[in-house]
Amino acid sequence: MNFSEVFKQSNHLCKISPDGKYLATCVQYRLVVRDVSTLQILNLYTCLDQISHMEWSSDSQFILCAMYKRALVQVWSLEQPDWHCKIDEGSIGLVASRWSPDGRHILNTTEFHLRITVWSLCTKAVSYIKNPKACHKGIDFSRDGCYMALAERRDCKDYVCVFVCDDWHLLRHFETETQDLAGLEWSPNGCVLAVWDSCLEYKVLLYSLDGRLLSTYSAYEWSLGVKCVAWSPSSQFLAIGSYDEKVRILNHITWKKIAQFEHPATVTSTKVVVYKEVEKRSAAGSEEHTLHNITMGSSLLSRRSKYEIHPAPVQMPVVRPDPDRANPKIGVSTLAFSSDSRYLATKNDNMASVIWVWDMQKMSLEAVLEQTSAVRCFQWDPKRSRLAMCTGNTKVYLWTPTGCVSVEVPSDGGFQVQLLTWHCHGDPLILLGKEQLCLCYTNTGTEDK
Amino acid sequence: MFFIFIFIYSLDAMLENTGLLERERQLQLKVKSLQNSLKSEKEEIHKLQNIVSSRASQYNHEMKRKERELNKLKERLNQLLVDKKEKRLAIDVSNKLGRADGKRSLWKTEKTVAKHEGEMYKTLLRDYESRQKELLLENAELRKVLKQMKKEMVAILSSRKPNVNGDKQDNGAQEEEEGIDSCKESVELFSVHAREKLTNGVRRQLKKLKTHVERLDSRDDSEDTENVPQDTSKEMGKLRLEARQCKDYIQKQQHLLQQKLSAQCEEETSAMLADCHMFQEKDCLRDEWKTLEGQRKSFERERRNFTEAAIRLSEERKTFEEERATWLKHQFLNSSPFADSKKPQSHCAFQTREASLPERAVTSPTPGCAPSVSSSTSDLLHTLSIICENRYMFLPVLW
Repeated sequence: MNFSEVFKQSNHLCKISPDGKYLATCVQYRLVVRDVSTLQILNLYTCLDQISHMEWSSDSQFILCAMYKRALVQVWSLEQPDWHCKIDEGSIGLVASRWSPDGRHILNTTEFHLRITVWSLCTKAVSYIKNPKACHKGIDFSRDGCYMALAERRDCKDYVCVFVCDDWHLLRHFETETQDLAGLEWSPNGCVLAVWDSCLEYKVLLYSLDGRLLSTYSAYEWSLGVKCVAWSPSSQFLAIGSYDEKVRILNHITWKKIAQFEHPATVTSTKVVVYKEVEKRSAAGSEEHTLHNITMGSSLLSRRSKYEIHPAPVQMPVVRPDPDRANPKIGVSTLAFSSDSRYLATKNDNMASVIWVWDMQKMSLEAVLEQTSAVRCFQWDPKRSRLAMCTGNTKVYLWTPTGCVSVEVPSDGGFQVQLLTWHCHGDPLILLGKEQLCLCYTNTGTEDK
Repeated sequence: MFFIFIFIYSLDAMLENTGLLERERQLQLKVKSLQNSLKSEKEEIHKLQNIVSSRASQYNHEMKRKERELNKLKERLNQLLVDKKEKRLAIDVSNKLGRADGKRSLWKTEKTVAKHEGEMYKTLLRDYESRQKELLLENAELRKVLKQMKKEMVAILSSRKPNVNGDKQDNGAQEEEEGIDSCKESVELFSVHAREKLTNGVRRQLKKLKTHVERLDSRDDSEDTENVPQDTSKEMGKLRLEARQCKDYIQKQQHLLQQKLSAQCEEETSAMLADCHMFQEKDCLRDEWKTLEGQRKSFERERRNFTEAAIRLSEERKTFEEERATWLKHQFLNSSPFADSKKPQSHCAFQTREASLPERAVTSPTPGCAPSVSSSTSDLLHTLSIICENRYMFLPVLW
């Protein structure tokens, strides 16, 4: 594995363009655009305030920079660096800003979720969407970019609005049978909309594109319910992670549960490979201390680690959450399907240092990865069955069906990996630290345990 | 009277006691069951309390959040009312952009609304069509598998003899089904009726197979119970003998293996020893062979000598016989009174005998009777006849 130079970034704002050619990073109030292959700076833009949010347009031609404190949005063009665009929301404030799928409209969510303002860059026209719901995930675009689903709250009732992104025509508007809608998500094929309730009630509703209720799923009553929902890329499965530490898989034909994945404290199955990260302090004077390392200075403090395979049964470290607090740290909070829908990676919040990898063909547990500290972020490679994860230390971890590897990020001063994202073509892997950024080039075919 | 009274009283007390004990036992059981139910109820309450408390904390959290937001909103409203300068929202673009797809935007009319609806339904239909195609393929595969299963089950069941009458009836139904199947293969089935027929057919075959297997199992069991004393004892005996033989064989093998293993450590010397033994044996054998050869040769020699001796002996005998014959002739001629007169008679007698004798001489070829006398033929014959006769007369005595 090769690592690039370390660059500066702020606010974890670092995004690759949808066509994979450019890398945009924000440093305070500056926007830096680099070429991905050479990492040379192509363009440098200056905004009026510290950038809170940055996003590429779908055609990779424009970048949106939102400054929430000033209620400003600035749009920059790659082709014509002197083209400028500034949107001022005025006194009404700004809490969120995003592109529309066609890359020519900007949707600004005002403070207190009073309304969503749709700005057109083609006509300078403005339209409003009233009563958007302030929830975890109240707005979602379908993958083909044709439709937008929006959650609405009016007269103490939840509604879903389906807009045609072409001309913002309201296609469908229907009430949902939820107490307090928490989120909605289109299926990857754009034909089904999954809507789920807040954690006080376990309810997942499935609506067809034309607004018909296809199915309702509720696993149990009274206890805290759904924590996260994820569609498989093939649209065949809907995975629901809940506070009872289980993941339930629904199938797209009958919308009934076909599998239930549990996260027990002891893994007893012998078919599961359990990887445990073991740290070993590098002794002073060993051959690992090359001149390069010594001049770096940090290697004396760093600890190398490797994975050990433990035979079943294995005990996982469990952290019991405080029962009196709201949104307790228990239950499955993160779900991620691999790009071929073959694997599902889950994280249970009361075993935060453990990642569970499930095989979707066998519908059983495939591997368990136990790290030394809580996992902060994990993401699948968009092209291959590779899972990258980080725990906030100086290492990045990769799991493949053949093995697991931990790699230290070489840097002076220590690079604490807090977030990571893959390039849309699978290589490189972008690692984000607190104020730093680094690219990791994985050489395929030379991974060892 | 007093004692009787006391006796009755004590009996009563005893009965009451047993009654009370029984009641106490029952009550104790009841207490235990009630305690258990109380424990389970308490656990249930505890669980529900936990749920209630978590829900309550969640509600409180939400309430606080909403209150905070409300306060912020109130503040902002106040600020706006006070604030004279209102910042209006505005957009400032250096130049308008073209549409991403290059087309011109259209006015919102009924046509566009209808177009959008049409597009939406097209998307949905496309998705349903693809799903239906997948399901059709899956159905066809499953149907194929079911048919195959049914065929195989029928084959298994028809290979055995039909034991029960019921089978015959089912066979009839089977044939009918098979007939239907063959024409089904060319036509796709979508009707509920055909589907039901197939599934019912498979279920029926499976039931038959199950009963068949059960019958086999029960038959084995019943057979065992009938022939237990005879067959089992015989079998047991046979098995015991086999086991013993095997054990012996194994022991022998083990013994040999041990020997070999123990001998292996002195491999070289033992090999040498073996060689020595071999050589020794070879030498012995060679010597023996030599002696035997010698003996054979001597035997041969002796045999030859014997044969020579026998030949010589026969020759000598011949000459001796000749001499004896001449001597006897002389003697006879000299001793007999009627020698002159009897000469012709004897001559005749001899002649008659002579006539019959050559036959005998020819018919009894014995060694030593070789007619190789070199005198006149008549004399020869004469002497020969005498010799032969004498021989015949004296043979048993001499030999």
